[in-house]
Amino acid sequence: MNSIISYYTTRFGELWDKSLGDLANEAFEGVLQNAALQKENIDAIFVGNMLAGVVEDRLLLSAFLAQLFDTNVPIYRVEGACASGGLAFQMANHYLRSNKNSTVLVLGVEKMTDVSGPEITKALATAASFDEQVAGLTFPGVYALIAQYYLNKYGYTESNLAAISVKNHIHATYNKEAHFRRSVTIDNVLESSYIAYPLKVLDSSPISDGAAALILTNRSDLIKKSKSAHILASETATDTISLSKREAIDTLKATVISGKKAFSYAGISQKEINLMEVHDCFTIAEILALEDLGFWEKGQGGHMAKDMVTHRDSGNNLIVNTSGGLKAAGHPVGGTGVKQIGEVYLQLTQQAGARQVKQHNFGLAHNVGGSGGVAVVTILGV
Amino acid sequence: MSNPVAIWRNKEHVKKILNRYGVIVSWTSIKIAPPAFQEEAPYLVVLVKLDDDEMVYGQLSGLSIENIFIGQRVKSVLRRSGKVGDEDVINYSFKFVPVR
Amino acid sequence: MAGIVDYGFYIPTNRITVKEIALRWGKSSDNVEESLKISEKAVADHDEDMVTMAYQAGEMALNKFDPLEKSSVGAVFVGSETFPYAVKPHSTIIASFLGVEKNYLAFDTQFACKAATGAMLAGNALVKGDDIKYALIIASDKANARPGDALEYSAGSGANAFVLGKKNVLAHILDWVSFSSDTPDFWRRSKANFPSHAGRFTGTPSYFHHIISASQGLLKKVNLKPSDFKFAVFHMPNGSFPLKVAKILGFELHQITPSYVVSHLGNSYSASALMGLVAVLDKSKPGDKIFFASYGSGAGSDAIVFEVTEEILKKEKKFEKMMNEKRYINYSEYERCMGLA
Repeated sequence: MNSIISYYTTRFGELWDKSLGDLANEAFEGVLQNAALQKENIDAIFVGNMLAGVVEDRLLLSAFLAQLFDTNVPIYRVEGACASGGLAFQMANHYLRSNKNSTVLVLGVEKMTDVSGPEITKALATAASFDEQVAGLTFPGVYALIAQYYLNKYGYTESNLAAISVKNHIHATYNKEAHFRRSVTIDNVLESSYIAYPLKVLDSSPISDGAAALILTNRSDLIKKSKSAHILASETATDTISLSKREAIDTLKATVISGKKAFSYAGISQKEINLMEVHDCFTIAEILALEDLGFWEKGQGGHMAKDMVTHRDSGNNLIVNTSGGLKAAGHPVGGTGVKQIGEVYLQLTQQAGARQVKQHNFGLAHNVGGSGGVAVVTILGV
Repeated sequence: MSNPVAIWRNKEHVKKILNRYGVIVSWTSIKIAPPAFQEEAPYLVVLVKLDDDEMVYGQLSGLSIENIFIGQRVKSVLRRSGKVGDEDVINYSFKFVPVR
Repeated sequence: MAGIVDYGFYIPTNRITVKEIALRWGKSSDNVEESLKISEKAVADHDEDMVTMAYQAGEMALNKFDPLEKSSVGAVFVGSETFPYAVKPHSTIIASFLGVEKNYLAFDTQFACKAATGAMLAGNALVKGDDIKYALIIASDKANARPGDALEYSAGSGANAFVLGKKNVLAHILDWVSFSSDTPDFWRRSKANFPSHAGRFTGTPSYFHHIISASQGLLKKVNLKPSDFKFAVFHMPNGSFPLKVAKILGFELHQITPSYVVSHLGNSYSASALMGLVAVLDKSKPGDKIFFASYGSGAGSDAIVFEVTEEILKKEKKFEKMMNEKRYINYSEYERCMGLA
């Protein structure tokens, strides 16, 4: 069975002294070292990256990385906006299904802080549809439309959203690689300035640099000698790029479909999942994720969020975003999907250190691209 | 958008949406904007359900964050869209205004 | 006989008071209001320009036309003095958005504030001679003025549009006289942002000389006297000139009051006199005669006599409503609207 045998992540944050290449290299070497493997043991590399072509005019990432890593193995660069990392993992898993005795490396990397705020806003908006871009909608703007609709439809306020941020910030205080390691209060969130009404700075994941890497293998000798987690499912689905063309404003159909496929493939139910990393690029997104993955009823998420039922100290059987999520651990877009799966791997294999939650058998990672145009749901088990 | 050919091609779409009525399904006020819209920020963007059920985005003029609401009836009008350089082709597009 | 088949107009919702502008420059608003007889003016928004306003006015003028009838609009002439392009026709942009496709003669005209009335006479001639079925004439300006200049109190925004034809005419163009000369009272060089003017030279030898000459010529030509007209409309660069010129020509106050929109809308340059015309068309009855004289600096005046027909009864009247849909802005919002900030 395809398994994860190693994980490494750089710090996430404003890493002024690190280039895209530096970040990629650190994650590449780190993950090999953690697995006690040499690069010669790697048969292929899958790279999740969104913005190198936009913010630093860098394409043909495969050859750039081949030179950097001094390798000649196949390197596939995968782009799925903020789901680039998850999608790279999903493809690596498929690769292993059709290649016996293989070991592959999945790398997610993003360098975001080399350009100005307006420039990165524009770069991220390339994942919005043409009609969204010409209306002056930003990426946060599209999620703001979803949030506004959701709050209005179910009668919630901005404080229901804020609770997600508070919870994830607390979780990140236990994560030494997190972009932010400070807790915030509901009032801090509510008093932070608006980016796209009703979403505020503290409802939003930050602009982060960072890289994360995983090693996947189906070689039983490697699985046996490593702390490993099985890949029970890694499924993806797509939907319209434009929110306006969707059947519902407050449902990410790509999440619904990929979630159903993943649960079906893994042969387990929501009740068996005790640990999740979900895509909280904005606070509203975590609420939608829990609803669309079938954990909460549609419209109930606002209450659940406010009660912080997925808090590590809640005593409940489902803890969400132990890493701090995109919100507080940081969101180097291509890196995020890999980090999410890495976090679930660490938790399931009891390697999460200070943020380790109790022993669990199954965990899920949920990664979204754009405003829901693509989603990847991965389920791991030990 | 400052490519004259893309603007020219997109005009057919703009013409289809112009001078139509609908209601606001959701809205936001963009404060952090891309460079072409930075000078206009903050500005309102609405998701509108037109009377034939087509859903379209557009900026909204004539209301503010204090008096805009979901369900407000709006009409599409012609406006300039985004800032272009002094030597570029001007992009005209539709925006929405409230129907009183 | 040809004439106006339908008309439309556009008045932006923003208003700034003369008081607010005077306050910005430390002037007494009482003096300004008394001498200019203007209390507020309409201001196009930051994302509006003469093209967008022209579209809105044109859309109203053509809203009874189905696509087939639109295709028989054989001419689109657009007059303005605030064209955003130095080279590129605006008439084609506007026609395209209006759905006028594509067998039409198009050009832009500039002649300061009478840019569109000359185009109206040209369009009328084409219609009269059966060269084309309909002509669409649009006047539109987002009039600007140098901050702090006296012109800033009056320069406003607005547009109007007229469909000329021979069938179902609501106001016939009975006759016209034009009077032109080389008189540099007001101008803007091609790369200058703001117009310049020659102060009091804009009065007697310019506005008054040309309007009076054209008007007297026309009254003589059609053999009518001022009392034969229900309404009189003159270009309104400020609130006092049109009242004065009406009096000189022998019109009574009640004839000019209905067209006197400058005190609340300001001077929308090429759309100014024509805004007075649409204001009175909205109030007119079959058989009413309208005396009209535009003025364009540089200089010239087109005097035209209109006669209203039964068709006017079918026209939905919207002018008062649009004029009263307004919101007041302060000077810094005004700067943003006009791109001065």
